[in-house]
Amino acid sequence: MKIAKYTFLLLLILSASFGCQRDDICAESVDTTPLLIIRFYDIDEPDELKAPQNLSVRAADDSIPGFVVNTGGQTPVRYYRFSRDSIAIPLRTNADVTSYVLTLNTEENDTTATTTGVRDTINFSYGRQEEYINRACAYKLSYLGLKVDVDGGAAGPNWIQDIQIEEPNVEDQNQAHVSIFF
Amino acid sequence: MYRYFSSLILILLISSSAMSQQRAVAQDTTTYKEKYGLRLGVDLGKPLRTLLDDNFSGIQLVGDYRIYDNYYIAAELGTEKITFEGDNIETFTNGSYIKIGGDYNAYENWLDMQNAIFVGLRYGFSTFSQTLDEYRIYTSSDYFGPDIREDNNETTGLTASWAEIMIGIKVEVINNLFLSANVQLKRRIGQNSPTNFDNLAIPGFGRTYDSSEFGAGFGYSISYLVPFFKKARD
Repeated sequence: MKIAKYTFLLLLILSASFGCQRDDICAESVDTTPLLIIRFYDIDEPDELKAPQNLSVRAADDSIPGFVVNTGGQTPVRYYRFSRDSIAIPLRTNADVTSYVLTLNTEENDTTATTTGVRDTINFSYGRQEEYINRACAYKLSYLGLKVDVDGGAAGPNWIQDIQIEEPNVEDQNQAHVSIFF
Repeated sequence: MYRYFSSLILILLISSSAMSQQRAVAQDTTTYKEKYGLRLGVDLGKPLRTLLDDNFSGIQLVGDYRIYDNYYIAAELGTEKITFEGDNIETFTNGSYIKIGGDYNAYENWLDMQNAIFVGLRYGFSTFSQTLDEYRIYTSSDYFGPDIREDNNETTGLTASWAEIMIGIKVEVINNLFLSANVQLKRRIGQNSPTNFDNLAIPGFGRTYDSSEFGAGFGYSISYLVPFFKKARD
């Protein structure tokens, strides 16, 4: 009887430890909402990748401050005076249209990329589809039927000569979705 | 989690061997009568957790009936409301469950005591609804800020079933009144989950895990034995 009481006590303590649960953290290796991958090509040699010089990328909406920062890699990359041949940028998850201003040849003292260089606005439009991932990451979005439209103002496109959709359904980040020729 | 189960089994082994030693001292030729009957009770852990845990409320009735020697048929009936709060998702589950099975008492009592160290098997079945209260569209970029949706989208008519093994003890504290504690390991057999979603918690089963079919639980209960007849111990 005495032993049984001790066992009861032990069981009580033991089962209390079941209350602790491991944290559910969304792992970086999980595929979540994809970024839109754009690669830049030479208009004269369409097979050749070409890095735009001092490219700055910001949302056309003034309420979104600053330039896009790509946090996907080991060190975050800010798309301000960026000179590589591809970029990965987010699309809005709460609207069917996302507009970006791409400024080529941003000069060093132009911290907002609004006065120097040449600018084109690209409007990306798409349908959105939600998909459940797991309890840690909740839901992701796929962008379906991507369409692009370059708006360079009255003078027409300023530096982008051609834009092509390589993959209209943005479901992962395994390949480029859009090619820009300049 | 399996660590706890193995240490639990160890404790039970040690304590049962200690008990059998005591029994050897007390041997005599008198025969003792054992009570057979229906034992009914209520779980104490769930009301306690209801008080302490904002994300849980539930009650459970327990019962067993001694059918033969050390064998009992046993059942639990309960209802639970469980809120799951993750970093990026919040759900509310509401439903009822029944668990049916049997217990085997592995403890040989001395004198006319009626304590038990038991192993039990159960089949559990739950019917419930789940509401997706809030969730986030997860993106690796925070450029446009977090996109958190409040939906309150309820899915009714969900079901789940599981098999359960439990191990525990029952102690007669005063005449015919028992305190019991047990731990449970469960494995989900089947479930239907909402379209494009998952069951994050199941009444009676507890929270689920994305990567496995297993779950765990525990129970403390108080119960009263209604004796139907007495029978001499073999």
